[in-house]
Amino acid sequence: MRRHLKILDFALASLRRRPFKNWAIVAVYAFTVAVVASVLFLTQSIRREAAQLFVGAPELTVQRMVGGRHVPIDLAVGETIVAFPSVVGVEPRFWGYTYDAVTESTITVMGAGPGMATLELVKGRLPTHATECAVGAGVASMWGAEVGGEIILIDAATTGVLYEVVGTFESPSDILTNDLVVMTAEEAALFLGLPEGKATDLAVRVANDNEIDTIAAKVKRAYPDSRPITRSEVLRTYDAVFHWRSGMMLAVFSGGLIAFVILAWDKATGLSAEERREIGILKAVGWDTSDVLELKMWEGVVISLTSLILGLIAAMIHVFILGAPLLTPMLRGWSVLFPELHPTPNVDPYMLIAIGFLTVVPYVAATVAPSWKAAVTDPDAVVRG
Amino acid sequence: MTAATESPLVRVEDVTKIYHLGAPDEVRAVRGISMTVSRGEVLVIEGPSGSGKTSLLTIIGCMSRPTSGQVLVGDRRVSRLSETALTSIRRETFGFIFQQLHLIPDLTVKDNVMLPLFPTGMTVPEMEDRVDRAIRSMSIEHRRTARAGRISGGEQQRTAIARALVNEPTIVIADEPTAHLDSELSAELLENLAVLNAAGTTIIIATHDPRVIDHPIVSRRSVVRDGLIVDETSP
Repeated sequence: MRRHLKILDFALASLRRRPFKNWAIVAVYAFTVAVVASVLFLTQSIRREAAQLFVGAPELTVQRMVGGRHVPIDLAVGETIVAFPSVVGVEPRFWGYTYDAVTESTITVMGAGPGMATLELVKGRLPTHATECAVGAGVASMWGAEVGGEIILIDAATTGVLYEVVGTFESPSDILTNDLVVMTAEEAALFLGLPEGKATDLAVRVANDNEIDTIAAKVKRAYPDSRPITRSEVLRTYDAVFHWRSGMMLAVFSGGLIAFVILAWDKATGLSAEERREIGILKAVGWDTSDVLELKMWEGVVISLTSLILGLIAAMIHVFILGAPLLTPMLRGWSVLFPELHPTPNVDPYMLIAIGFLTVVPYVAATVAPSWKAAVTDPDAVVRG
Repeated sequence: MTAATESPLVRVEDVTKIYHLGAPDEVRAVRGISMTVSRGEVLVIEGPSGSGKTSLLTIIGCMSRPTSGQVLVGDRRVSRLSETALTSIRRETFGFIFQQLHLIPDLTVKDNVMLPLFPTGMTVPEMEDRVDRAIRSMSIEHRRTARAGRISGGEQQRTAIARALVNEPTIVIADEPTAHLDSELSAELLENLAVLNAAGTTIIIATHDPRVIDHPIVSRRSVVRDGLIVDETSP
């Protein structure tokens, strides 16, 4: 053990001899780790959070499609669906979008009702009158409207409507609430120009999760122009979207990754004359081949672990403290009023192991492999100068 | 000069060394040499460049294996030992002073001297103690923390000797130690070797430098030509 510690000590001293070169490697290496880890942390965090948010969402949502377009659905459809066995309730949802020219943002308008359970009010209450609304953090911030303040929104008839803010929403990531304005269901239907007796879609509650697909099939049979969307489908879509986005991000940064691979390959394909000479000297003064390889392994481990730790810390600070400002333009949601992301610090240990395995192991191998050839050479080559 | 005792420390029996065996550029560096090295003697292996003296030296010092023949260090037949065992004997028995000194210029004098001790089971205080003694014996205490690449040629040479001594070897092997030294440094080196020998260390020197060959510390000379010992004398 003492021997290994001394070789480690010598490896540290050896690395300190070339501080510029080694810190340059650590910087490139840590940056690569930070980029990969940031993308993975952020997408995983968003997916996890989305999954949690959708836990309270309706098991089944039914929309009507005409000509491939989503159109308002008759409330009467809900009365039929609620009669299906296992269905415990059907509630109409009134939601849509409005463009706010002042803030140049698209705002989601929603009638209070099902789905509100997943949203948390930070201040105030939900609207109870047609002139009241509750807003998400992004809307509140853009309008500078706290509880008691007012906002003006343009309705379906392009008329400006004044609302009093009676509550504000917030969730850890703001994914669902940031660009949201909640009104009473009646006012939302009116604001969005929904015809009498129609809703944007229907939220269906099913008693037994195993029955959801059956109910969805029955709805489709009863109403061929309907589109039943199960919660698991929404989650899968979310997952796929963020998988795709993270893949795209990694593709964008692949240049950096390739540069790192080239760096590692360069190390793997040969030693400098100076490094070869040093290995020869060590062998000549009594170091065994295994001692030399251990020295090189420690050098690789120290460099790669330092880089890995620095890269992971940088990624955690970037994603979980700063809210991933460098990645959100590509990864965050579809709204123009971008949610301010505050991803919950939640790191999958398997992900850490994977990042470590994909970076530390190749680098250490790239450090040790070329040394092996030099280390097995008889030291008399050094004696001959 | 310390009188050599009778017990041979190293025995070389009909050793050959062929480089690039079977290749067009095959070189027969050593062609069947037999010799012994006795405890406490100063043996000079003399010969011109390319005569095979360095090859013989590296075989004696367990830095390379002979192509054929036997080498015994003490009672151990080392010619066919594993690399690990050979390294262990090299570390415990021999100290090397190379023609080019072969210091690591970025390391301090202390770390250069300490190099042979890192892969041993010695504690750090023991190592420090050994290094202190070796450095003191070469009078380079004042350069202990200086980088080896930034000290004078004489100090570098003494650092190299200190490194050769730090593992307290039974035999010091010096390959052309004065090849790049002026007269003053050569004399200093030979004085240092004389002190070592007086303390009981066996010394083997490969050289063609008359200043070494004719030095009074030399107890025996073996003249090598074309891979063979052609003459042996005891001054």
